Amino acid sequence: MADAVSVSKGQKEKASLLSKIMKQRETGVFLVLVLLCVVMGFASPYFWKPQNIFNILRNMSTIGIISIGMTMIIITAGIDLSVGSMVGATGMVTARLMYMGMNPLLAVVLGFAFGFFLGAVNGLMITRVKIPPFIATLGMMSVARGLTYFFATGIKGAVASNIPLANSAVGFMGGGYIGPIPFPVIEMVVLVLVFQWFLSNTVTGRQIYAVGSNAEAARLSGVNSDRIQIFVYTLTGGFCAMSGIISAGLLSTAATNAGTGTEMDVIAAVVIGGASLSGGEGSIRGAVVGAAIMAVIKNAFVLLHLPAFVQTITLGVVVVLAVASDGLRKKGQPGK
Amino acid sequence: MKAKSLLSVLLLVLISTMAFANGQQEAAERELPAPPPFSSAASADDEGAVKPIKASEEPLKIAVLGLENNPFWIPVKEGAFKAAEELKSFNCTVEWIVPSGTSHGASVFGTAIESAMIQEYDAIATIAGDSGIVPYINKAVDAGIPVATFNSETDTENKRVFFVGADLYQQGQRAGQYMAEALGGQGKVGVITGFFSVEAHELRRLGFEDYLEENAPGIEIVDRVENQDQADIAYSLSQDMMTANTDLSAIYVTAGGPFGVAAAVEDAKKVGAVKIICYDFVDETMEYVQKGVITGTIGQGPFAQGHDPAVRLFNYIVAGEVPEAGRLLTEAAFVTKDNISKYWSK
Repeated sequence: MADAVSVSKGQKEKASLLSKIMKQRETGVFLVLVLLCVVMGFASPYFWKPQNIFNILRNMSTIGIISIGMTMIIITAGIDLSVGSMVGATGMVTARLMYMGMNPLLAVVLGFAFGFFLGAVNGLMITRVKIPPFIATLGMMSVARGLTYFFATGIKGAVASNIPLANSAVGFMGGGYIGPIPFPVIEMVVLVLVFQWFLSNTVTGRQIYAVGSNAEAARLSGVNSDRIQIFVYTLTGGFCAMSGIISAGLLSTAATNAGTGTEMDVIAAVVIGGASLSGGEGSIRGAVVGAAIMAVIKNAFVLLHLPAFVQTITLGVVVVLAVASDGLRKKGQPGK
Repeated sequence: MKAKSLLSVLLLVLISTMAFANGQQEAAERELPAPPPFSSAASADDEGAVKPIKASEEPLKIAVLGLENNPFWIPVKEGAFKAAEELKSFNCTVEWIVPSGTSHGASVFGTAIESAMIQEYDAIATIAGDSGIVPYINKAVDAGIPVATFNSETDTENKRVFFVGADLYQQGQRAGQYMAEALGGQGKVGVITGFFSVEAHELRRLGFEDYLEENAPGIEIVDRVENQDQADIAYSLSQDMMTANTDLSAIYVTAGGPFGVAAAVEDAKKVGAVKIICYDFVDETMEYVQKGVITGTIGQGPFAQGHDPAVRLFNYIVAGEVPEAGRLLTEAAFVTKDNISKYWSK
């Protein structure tokens, strides 16, 4: 008797869990990704080859890693346009220090420190000087790219040049494999899991949402919103350093134009993944699925020999559709 | 109040500088021979080695407006510096000026021409990436300051005296020819271009494709994609191309980031099976040429692009020497593993 009750209760929970999952924004986006993959599987015999799947995962890893930080920033109702330039600057600093003979480990640590520093400057401009995030990070976008050229200058006369990255351990961060799996993919998966847990289960994580949904209410209930904002921008600087070093490691070269345009891909991934630019909403899971959708589309167009302009149009349409579908979904919900 | 007075002082300075500069420009006007026909083309025998003819009686100043945002410009700058060194004893200074901004376009170089006029340069050599720069060039020439263009220029006719640089369509055709030779006239080729919106990249792509269509019907272009001049995007695209075409025989790169393609081919262990033809002599590219991963790379005489405009402008002003053609096309050398020592050393 008691057993029967508990079973039916379990079923109820299951049903409500299912409907909960279906209601979640990420589920819809995930289904789009699955659909896309199924269609691609029929359209190209090469799509499901393990090598191709690993290529897609590796190609999305830098975008995926930065989108962790960008998700948190967008949840606080902010934006960071400087991520691409920070990728370039941090990769270049690391390569330059190593080129000058510094211990590779120390160079990587300093590369990360530089990323954290640039991110912190963003955070301080936004909170202490009250510059709107769009403007502050637009400024940083230019400053960090300029710094990239600066650190790239002086090796071959006074012209910015790409810098070779000799150390194989650092190269491994971007170009290494564990078994068949590219190492950047592992880095991405670990970071996503850790920070998804952090965002959902820690006090600071919940405070990030609080700041974005209603900054004033959050302040009144004792959340230091300035501290939270500085934290997310600083962290994002670190993710950019990670991507910068991955990108330089993969090609054994820190390029002066590394990361150019990355900000748009990252923002698109985060928005496709369900974050709202007005803040308070978003998840890292979703953002990574968003990054995967974009990576699959990019891969699909080469595999299917489609003209490049169709790809550019499609990426734009996907972003708009993702946000539109979210608006429609919310319309159907009570209280929204 | 303080700000207001500061502003008025600034304004006064600005106006007086402009008035002064205007007066100077009129004084600088001199009789110059007519330039060669705009579209006439030739390759100069003394490319990269043209010498000043005779010393100037009055001190001259020539501005070379260039870029420094990537390693391509290193030999260009060296060329300009070499010209400066040579012209020093001929009573002429040459200055290498990098306007702020990273584009080839008129927004950057038009403004730079204007400020070079204000600074009373006697001649200007500039990059002329798009037709927006035409009014600036014409304004300078009308003010008696001859202008030469180098590296890239617009098709829109204007008053520049001459151009030093590559014929990009012809470079593309050369690339097609080398590709046909490397593949023995058979195979599948993927094209990675910088931007479909950049005329220079398109000319190289079309020259290549036109040549193959006419002369090597056995070669099929399987893909045309854009890497935004970035090596890491080129890496991903190359991987995808090799996945989609297991029998891919070559990749042609029109612009930036060919070492990303080389890294992808190397990582896929397809060195030799997938040939690569690309452009320019930057170190990363040359290292892969030496290793045999990149089949060959096509040059465009960057040293001459930096060197010749200043010297030829000098000769034009001082000796009235008119260059043999409006477009002085630089050598499109094809560098492979076999002849690399002639062009590059580590």
